[in-house]
Amino acid sequence: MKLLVHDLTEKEFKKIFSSVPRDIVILSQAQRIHPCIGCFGCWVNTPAYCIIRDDYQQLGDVFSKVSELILISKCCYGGFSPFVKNVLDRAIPYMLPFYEVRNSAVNLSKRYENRIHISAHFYGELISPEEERIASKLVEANTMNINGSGSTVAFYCDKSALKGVML
Amino acid sequence: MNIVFLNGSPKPSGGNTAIMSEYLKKAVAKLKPDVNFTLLNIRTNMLVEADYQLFDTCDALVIAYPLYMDAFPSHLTSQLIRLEEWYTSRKGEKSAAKGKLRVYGLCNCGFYEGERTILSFDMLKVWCRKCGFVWGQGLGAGGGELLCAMPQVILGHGPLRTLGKNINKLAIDIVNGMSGEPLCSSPDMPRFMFTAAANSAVWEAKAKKNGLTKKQMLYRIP
Repeated sequence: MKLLVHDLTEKEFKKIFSSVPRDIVILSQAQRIHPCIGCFGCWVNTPAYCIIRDDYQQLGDVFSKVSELILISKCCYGGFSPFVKNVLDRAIPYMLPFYEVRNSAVNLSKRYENRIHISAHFYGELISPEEERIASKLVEANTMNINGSGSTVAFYCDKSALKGVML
Repeated sequence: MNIVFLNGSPKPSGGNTAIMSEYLKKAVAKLKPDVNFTLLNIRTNMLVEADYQLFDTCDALVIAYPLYMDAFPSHLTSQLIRLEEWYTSRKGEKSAAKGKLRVYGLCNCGFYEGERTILSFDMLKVWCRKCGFVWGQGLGAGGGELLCAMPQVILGHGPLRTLGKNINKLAIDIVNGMSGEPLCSSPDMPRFMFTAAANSAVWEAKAKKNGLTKKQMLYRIP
């Protein structure tokens, strides 16, 4: 299964992606999401479940069924837009709190066995080379964080250019 | 001297971000006893235009936050965007903070390696450029959970030796209005010891308090 997280409006999304393959689950701002409150309840209180009662309570489980995570986001200072970042922040029940050394650094161990490929698509009118560098490094770091299988990053000068994205 | 602290932690109180901010406040106050600190919290409400006026008269803005997925927590990104929108508006362009306000980053991350925070400082630098602010410096501390888990450890000693030195260096740079390279630290203890201590003394201990065994912590939604 593929998971697509995007920050476009429903209208923009329909205009850009006229048809979406059936195996893609889409998360957009249409779903109710609260920010992660950093309580770590999903690790030490209700393992694997977020304690916040909204549409993202079982996001860790959703991630466990994903082979590719497609992120479509406005580039904000070389990072993700608040909504896309919020989804990533809320995905920590996908991981365990226990540390292990991986790629010569301390990382979180995995609750689930699948490995995710991250495909990040950043759009924005004036993305500077520095922002591109930061975004590329960020996606690389995120991939290492979730022990993903790999990542790709692409940049687009405006939303309409996303039409070329293969879902 | 006026310093504004923007607390970018989503926690209501007592988190590592608050502890780090207290360390820095004390270090600055030692150098400059007449310093005024103002704390802005964005946990429940975004800042409003009246808050921005504080930036016109302050000497430094310290943005403190925990590292979430190698960057700021999402609600802090929202706040930074709102500030950028205002400072690039007609009204904001006339602000006294433009070209003057020096911004410092104070970040703690749960991982051992404090260098993991550098990317978030690079983002803050980009934000400063867009708003017309001056980038000062970032301080990144690895092993953030140690701060809460070991309240008996004094800053500047034991595992917090390097962090103590870096806090003092940052305080000097803030007081002198200087910019500098990122100051990053890992806990002063071997990595294997940190990993073992964090796993058992922090996470397993917290779960145990909630009546959970280690096996239950590994639960997978079927």
